Amino acid sequence: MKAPLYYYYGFSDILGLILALLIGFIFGFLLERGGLGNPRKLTAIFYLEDFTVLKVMFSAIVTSGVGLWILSKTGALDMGIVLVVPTYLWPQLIGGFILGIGFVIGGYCPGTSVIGITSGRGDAAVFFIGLMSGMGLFAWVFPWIKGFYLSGDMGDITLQRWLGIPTEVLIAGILIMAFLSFLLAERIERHKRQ
Amino acid sequence: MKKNYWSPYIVGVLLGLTLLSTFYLMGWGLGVSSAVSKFTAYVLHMPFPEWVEKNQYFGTYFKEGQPLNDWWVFEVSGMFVGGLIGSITARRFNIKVERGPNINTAGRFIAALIGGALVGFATRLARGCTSGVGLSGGAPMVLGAWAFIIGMFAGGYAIAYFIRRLWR
Repeated sequence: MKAPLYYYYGFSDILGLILALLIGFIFGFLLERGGLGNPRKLTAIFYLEDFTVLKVMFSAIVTSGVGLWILSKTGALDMGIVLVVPTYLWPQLIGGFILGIGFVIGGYCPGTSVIGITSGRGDAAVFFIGLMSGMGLFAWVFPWIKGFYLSGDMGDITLQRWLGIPTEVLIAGILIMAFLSFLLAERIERHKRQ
Repeated sequence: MKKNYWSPYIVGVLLGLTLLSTFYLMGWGLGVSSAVSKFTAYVLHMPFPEWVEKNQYFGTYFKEGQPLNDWWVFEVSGMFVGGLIGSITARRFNIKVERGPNINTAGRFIAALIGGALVGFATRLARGCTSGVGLSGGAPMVLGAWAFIIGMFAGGYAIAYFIRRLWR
């Protein structure tokens, strides 16, 4: 079967939205089970005490990264159709930096604040209002920062193309990096507990 | 009795499989902040319809019709239900304010508001958040997504020491 199924088999919009609810349900449930609705657990990585954020993020990226590679290599998934975020290098680097600062100050990122709210945390609801305010502020100042927003436009560029290495090598490198970072994280956590 | 959290590696692998299935089924990944942005535009549209529609950023949402009629808005609605059922079934649902030992509730709320605003602004600049850019762009090895991830950890570690009274 050729995928994305939505594209090749023309799902109805209703089916697409039902899948959205279902996928969102699983996403939310998993974040809750991982403890990712708890801001003390989320921020603990920045105090070198609990590396849950790193472990969840990198196992997820590696799992789906390897999966995507296999699916596209075997021709099951047409990566030419798959929508991914385009690269605008500078706003993404700086945006990531500001997000990291806001993450430690506020205790959440957008998805985890949803789980904070559904666990009954009032501070998560306040964070969510902050999120909306920051977005409103962005829309307001957008005309003045549009130049920066559009800077570093590199289109659809992957790490392997930028580095000029085969995908296999990149995947192997990321697997090794993830494995080493997990080992290091476990070591630091053990050390902190003693 | 509260249940224990699952192993972060298991959660990560299951999350990765969910993301992979989303790509396979829909042809795009997971995301949260664009839905929050559309919801924000929708809320602001009630008191200020003209301003929102003429705004260069929010205005585009209304040119495509109703802003809440969007795949990720439905996905985030599903997240609320999944998160709620998750916390109830694990006996973790509890109305409270999560804060460090050296800060009061008012201080925690101010920090949450400021942090939230910074994150909200940052997600629009980066074209997504930890989910939409970090995970959904990181897995297909998008250069900008990896720049975002590096920036995020750099920003977090750069500020953590100076605001340690918020959490420690």
